[in-house]
Amino acid sequence: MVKRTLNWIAPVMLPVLFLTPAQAQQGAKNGEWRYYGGDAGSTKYSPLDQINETNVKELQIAWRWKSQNFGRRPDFNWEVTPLMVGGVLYATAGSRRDAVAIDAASGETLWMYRLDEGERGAVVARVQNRGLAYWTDGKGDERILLISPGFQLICLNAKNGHPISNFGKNGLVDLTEGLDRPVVKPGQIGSSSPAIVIRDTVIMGAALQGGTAPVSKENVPGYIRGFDVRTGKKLWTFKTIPRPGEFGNETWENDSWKYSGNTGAWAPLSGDEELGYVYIPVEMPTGDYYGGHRPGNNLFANSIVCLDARTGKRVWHHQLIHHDIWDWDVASPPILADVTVDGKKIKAVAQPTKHGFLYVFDRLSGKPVWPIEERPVPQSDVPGEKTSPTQPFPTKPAAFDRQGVSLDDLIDFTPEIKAEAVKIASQYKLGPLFTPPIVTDTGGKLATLVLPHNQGATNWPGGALDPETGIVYVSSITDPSRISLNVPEASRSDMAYVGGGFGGRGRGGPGGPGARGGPGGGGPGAGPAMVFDPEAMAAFRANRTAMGPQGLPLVKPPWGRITAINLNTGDHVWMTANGEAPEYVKNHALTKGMDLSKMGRPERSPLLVTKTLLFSADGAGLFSSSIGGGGRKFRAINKKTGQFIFEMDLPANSTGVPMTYMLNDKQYIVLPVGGIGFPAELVALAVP
Amino acid sequence: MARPILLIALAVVSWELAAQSRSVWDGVFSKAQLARGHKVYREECLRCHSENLLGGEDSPALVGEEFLDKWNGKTVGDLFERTRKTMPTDGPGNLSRQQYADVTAYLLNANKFPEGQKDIETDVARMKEIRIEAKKK
Repeated sequence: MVKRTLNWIAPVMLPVLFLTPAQAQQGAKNGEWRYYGGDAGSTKYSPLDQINETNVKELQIAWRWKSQNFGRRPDFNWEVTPLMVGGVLYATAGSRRDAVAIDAASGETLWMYRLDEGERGAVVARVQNRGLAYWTDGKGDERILLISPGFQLICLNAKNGHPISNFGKNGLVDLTEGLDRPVVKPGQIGSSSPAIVIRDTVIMGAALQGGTAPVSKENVPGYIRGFDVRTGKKLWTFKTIPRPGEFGNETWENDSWKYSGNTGAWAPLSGDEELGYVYIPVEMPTGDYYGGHRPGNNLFANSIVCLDARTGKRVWHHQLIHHDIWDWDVASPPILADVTVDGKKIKAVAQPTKHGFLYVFDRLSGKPVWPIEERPVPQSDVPGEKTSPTQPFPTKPAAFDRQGVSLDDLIDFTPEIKAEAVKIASQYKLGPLFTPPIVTDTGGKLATLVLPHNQGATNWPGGALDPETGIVYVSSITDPSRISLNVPEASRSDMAYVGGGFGGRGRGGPGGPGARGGPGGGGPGAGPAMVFDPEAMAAFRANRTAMGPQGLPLVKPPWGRITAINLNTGDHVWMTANGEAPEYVKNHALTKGMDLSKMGRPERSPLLVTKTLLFSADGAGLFSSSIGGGGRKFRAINKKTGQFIFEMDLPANSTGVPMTYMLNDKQYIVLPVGGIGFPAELVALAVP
Repeated sequence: MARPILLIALAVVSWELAAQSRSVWDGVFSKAQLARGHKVYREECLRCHSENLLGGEDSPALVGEEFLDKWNGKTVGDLFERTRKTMPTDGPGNLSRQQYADVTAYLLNANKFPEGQKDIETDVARMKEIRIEAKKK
């Protein structure tokens, strides 16, 4: 394997290395893909250029790797982005989250690691996950870091998959320890994203169960922790819910720091090896839609936090939402970018958010590149709730998706459709960004229409950066969610209010914050080697209906988009719909004769940037997708204009962010696919 | 010959009537099945629908007024089939029929329907004989 690597690096990559400017953020190096996001800065960029605008139409499937027999039942929604080091791909695999090494040229399995965690791994906070972390000392010690479903950190020898015996206890570290709770039950806390290794420190966040209707206001805190990559020794803990005497503790009023939980970082992390900093996107605290049990701003929830990788000391932070009651976690990896603004070179970090902003900071100091203003926002009338009087609004860049709902936002294909949309919308509370949820039936309204959706304009697929131009590409959806609060039965929750429980009563059928769509876009049904069950797909779809007029979306298209934003100027460069309308819209009687080619699908397109092209796909359309989201299309887009250059059908829906690498003079693009009835696979694309 | 046939026919009809008269208030699942269903729920459903069945960010509540409104007048077989064909959302039909029946029992119990002596069977036709009635008649 090493021999093969050396063979191709010499002739193919050296010219690229010499041509690339000496800057910290240049994407994945040497034709490899060593981090989830390509490089530690999560640019999802590679300077490879073999696949270009001319030959991209010749892309074919080079090999497929099937995960069907990994785990006690197949995984269908594999959100992984494999790593590629020295000609070997490393990925998690299957519903048990095994680790595998795969020959990057042929797709052959080289080794696999499986840990049966018993009960500990049977009940898990999050099934889906996004992959692994890699580390080497540069002298032959190469390691793979896996976080198990049962929340153990596992260090493997990258060469053979064997646990590193002197790391933790026989290669394992129990991550449920040290969380300031006497008991952590199986399934309370886990992980859905890989760790990141910066300055020989394994840094990781955590993912907890969803917080729509928590069992309790009390939960486990999702602290950020750093471990020595050589020994597994815990080096530090950054307490995202500060204890007494720690900065920010006073933002948890009424001693709510004592019992509040969540506030983890479930999205992938980013880092800067040169600076020795790690950038943490922190989620919201316990209780997605009711914060009455945690009065105050709740630092470091909904923040981007910069930590010293070796010590865990906070360098800077910025809270992007105070006292979140919309479930707007910071949900994707911060994107590191070296840019020039008004003639000044800035090492920046850009954070796309669920609520549709791209916040940009100097990543050394945390100073906003463009001013961020605290502006007054609507206040909650829910008993016991105390919303923040202001929220932070970046003055630049402009929001990359629509925010808030007014009658002007409603679908208006015809006057009749618009009138019906207005009638439906009248059942709900409308308002600008940060309009709070209501208690069901308050003022005769069923719920608040929240846009962006509680699952976000963006979510974990986030964005990608072209470091050569400083342009960030962000994918997002436009789909309001209906959020309301109800008093739960005391036997089911000690919260005063929980979300949900209203959807079936409103026009538009089943709903609640979880009024979500089934797999969209053609589904995986037409691909080869199917075990696809059309009956299951039909049943799933039949249970889900869009909330707008006669089953159409309630708001105007585009329902899914990609936006290019120049970080040197803060200006939008272009915006394009992420594809054609969902199948159910295309097949709807009211849309006959309409041009539906640029209406977009309500799923966040996973993005990959190379020297030559922007690649995107329809996305999974499974968890966290709106009705009609997702599909089988993979496409290449002109980076400068947003025009689609090429489209092809994948065997099933794209469930993760693509990656690329060069091996034996051939550039490959690899991404996971899957769907209902279609066990997850990796698909490698290349020009023959 | 007519009389025995008539008797058999009456017996069949009365058996069917008896079967059709069953509702979820008649103790249609056992304690053991409930325990198995709880295990299935924890391993396959909890992560989306929450430990308290009140639903999650992507999933509706499985207890309470709305759930009962939706299923009132339908049958246990309908609930079983809907669950089997659509759940878990990323891999519908991937549990065994027994597991789907067990978790159906757990859902019924969570909605305060009483346990009995026997299991819900995995035969859909038999399950469709059990009516879901939100309120005891």
